[in-house]
Amino acid sequence: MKKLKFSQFGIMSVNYQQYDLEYCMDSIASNDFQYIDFWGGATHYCAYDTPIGKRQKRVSDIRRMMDDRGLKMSVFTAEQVCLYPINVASSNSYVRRNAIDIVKRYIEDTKEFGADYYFAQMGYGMFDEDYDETCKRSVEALQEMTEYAEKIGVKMVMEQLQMYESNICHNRETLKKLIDAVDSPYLTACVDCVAAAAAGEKIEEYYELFGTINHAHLADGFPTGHLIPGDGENPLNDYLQTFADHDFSGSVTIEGNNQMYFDNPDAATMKASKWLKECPVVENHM
Amino acid sequence: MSNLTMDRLAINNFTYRRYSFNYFMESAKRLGVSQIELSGCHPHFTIYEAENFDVKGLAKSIKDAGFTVPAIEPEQNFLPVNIAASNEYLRNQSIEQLKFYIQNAHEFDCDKVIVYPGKAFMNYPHSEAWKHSRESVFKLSEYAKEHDVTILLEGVSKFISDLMMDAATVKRMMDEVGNDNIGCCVNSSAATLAGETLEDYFVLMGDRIGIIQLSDSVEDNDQLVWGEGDQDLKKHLDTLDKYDYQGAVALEVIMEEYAYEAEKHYRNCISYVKKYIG
Repeated sequence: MKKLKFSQFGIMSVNYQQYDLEYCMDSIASNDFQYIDFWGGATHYCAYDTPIGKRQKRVSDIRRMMDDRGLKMSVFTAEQVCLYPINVASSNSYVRRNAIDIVKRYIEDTKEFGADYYFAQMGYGMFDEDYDETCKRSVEALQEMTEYAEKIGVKMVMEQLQMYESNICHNRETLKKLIDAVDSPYLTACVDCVAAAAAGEKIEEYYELFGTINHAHLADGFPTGHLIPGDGENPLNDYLQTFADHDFSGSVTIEGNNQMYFDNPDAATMKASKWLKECPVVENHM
Repeated sequence: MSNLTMDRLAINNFTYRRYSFNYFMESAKRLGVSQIELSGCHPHFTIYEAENFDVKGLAKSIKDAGFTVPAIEPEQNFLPVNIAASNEYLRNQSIEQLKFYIQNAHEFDCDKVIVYPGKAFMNYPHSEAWKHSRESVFKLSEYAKEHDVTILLEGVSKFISDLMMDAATVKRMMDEVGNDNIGCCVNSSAATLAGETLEDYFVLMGDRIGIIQLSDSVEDNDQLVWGEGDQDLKKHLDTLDKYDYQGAVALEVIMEEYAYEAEKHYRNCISYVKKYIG
């Protein structure tokens, strides 16, 4: 039976938003993880909490913070469509232009962080706007982002969202359509295991559809909820076994993202670490 | 039957953030609502929408459609706005963003702007974030005086911030800042989560309540459509009558799932509430 390695797993820092970044990194490192999936939001780091003139210093400070703790960044996951006004498919050209400019700077940051991937998002349209026009704007923006990423040597992954987050990418098929339209090795699919569970899909079906999967989000749920492994009832071992059987060599981000963890994210990370160490599909020697 | 009537009920456009503002207004008409708790949310009404946002244009479209605006609620949870941040740049930017709503409130014939306490880092001294929050609220209320606006402090759930989670801490902020143009906004879900009732707010600062927000909740999820949680709506409405509250009541339902088919969720909410009001 093939297995994944503990060292392939990382923690998304979004649960630590009510703690400072030093605390966050201390907690992730002390729970034996080597990967941080870095959430780009206030006040850890984002376009809105750091003036442009101080951006490079902040980015190199963050890089040093990781190096000091032996952490590596798997993915730079900047807050974009769900909370922030970063919508690369907006019908408002002012919003769209700003969004693409911010994302390009984030792609540069990804390189500085030494991260494996930038977490691209496709944007969205209003439900009462023309759907085809939104898709067209989204593809154009993704192409511009991907060209830029390719130029500076940064790869990107993208996942499907929920309908209430993006009307143009809310299942496997719509994600596939966007990725195919861009058609670049610099933009590939990320599987979100909660979205798969919510849709009653198997991970194997994602492999069949996309061929290449470079990154995955793992969370538990009922089936939704983005809970820490063990806090829900999704078949996480089955999911991980499928990745292992495909010799998946990328990183898996534990994406517990629920306000119930915000007051004690260290306890959630400790729980995730313990779950992985007891998981039959994960090899545990460090 | 409660004394509350449909014409005092407001709905909030935040739930409609995946629809155009015009769609929101059409929907509000279909739902029989005449008041809007105006959310300063993206993409409807923020500084992020344009170099210079056409405030007069938005105000005119709201008035032309026959709506009144009892309060403006700048989005301060999703958006990067935090008046208590230890990061001085973010804190100052946040104050500037809130000033945008204060200076423009009268365009909407509105004199109330809702302010959240901001968020603290839990591994920093609580007193430091409290001080930042208080200084920011002071600056905002001084600015609001110049514009004849009242700041409504809103206690928020512990999931969002631990600075003002209950009636006592809202009152403490009000007292420490000390300006007369500070009132409060009472949110039934935040009150319930803190183990309080609307009555606790009326007892402590009844004459300074500027708006009431009603939403249902369960223990670990708040601001649900009425009927989806376990709060006692009748008890809330009885409290409003007991204290002869005559202001607006906003139905604020903000689960992220509601952003899709927002009207359906608000329709369910209003249908439930209608069973209790005149």
